[in-house]
Amino acid sequence: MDKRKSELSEAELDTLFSASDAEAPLPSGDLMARILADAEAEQGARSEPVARRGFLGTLREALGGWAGISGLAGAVATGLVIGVFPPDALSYYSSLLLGGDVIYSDYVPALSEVSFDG
Amino acid sequence: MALDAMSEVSDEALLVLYANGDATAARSLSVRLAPRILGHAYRMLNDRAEAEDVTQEALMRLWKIAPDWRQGEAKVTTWLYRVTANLCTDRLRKVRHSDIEDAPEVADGAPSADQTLIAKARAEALNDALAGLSDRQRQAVVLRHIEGLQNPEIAEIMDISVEAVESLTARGKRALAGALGKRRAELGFYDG
Repeated sequence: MDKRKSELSEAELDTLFSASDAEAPLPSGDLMARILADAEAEQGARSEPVARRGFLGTLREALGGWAGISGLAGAVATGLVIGVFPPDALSYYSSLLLGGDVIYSDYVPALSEVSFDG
Repeated sequence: MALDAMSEVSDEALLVLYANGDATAARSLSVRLAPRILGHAYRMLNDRAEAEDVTQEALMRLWKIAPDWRQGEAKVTTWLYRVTANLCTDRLRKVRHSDIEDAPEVADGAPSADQTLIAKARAEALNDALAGLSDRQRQAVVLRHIEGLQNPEIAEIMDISVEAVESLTARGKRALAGALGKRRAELGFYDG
């Protein structure tokens, strides 16, 4: 028998690929509901603690807590310019206010005198 | 923003909107991405329930990393395909299911005049044959010939060279052509 007939041709294989694409399973309503519930839960988990902390609380966390702030305060006191913030360490809001990667003493005045939200 | 007004917004922009608290953005992203991820996972796993679990897990990971997403570094779909592949590979390693035993029945003899049945039978036959490929060959073939991605993006998803993608797809297609050739008649392929 013709050996070629034991294999599908390129065109026949393409026909099967198209059929597979057309017959792709669609997400059920139940699956979509679960996905959206996950999205909502994740959003809720993020928003609530940030709202309680406020901006300075968020900044404190981004700086590595109190240990990070004490080091930063020392550096600021000596007039150093610090580039310590990788973009993803700060929230989008914080990075807009601070102007990105570098923080100057003008933007964070007298940290020791500021009371942070608990 | 209304759901339909987001149709022109990129996946990446929608993700940033979601990270900033826009619930509609999550719905738009889910409607866009869930079918693609489900389809891809189903072709990797040949199991609807497992594919749904993988789809939910992959999108959960997307929701979690949304605040850290850096625009311009990667496409959301590229990242998601990679996550999906990893999740599928983990499942395949745990349960090496017998696809021959679970294969759905294909119509015997000459195909019926019902084109819908023929398309369904062909899709199922292809899924059965895909299950016989190695995981990497299957992933490359599905991404190229069913998801319609180009080789450079596939290379990025699979973390291999473009040449390696071409080799995987070529070998995978040869294997499919051989496996499915035996079922030519029942798939509705006739001479002349």
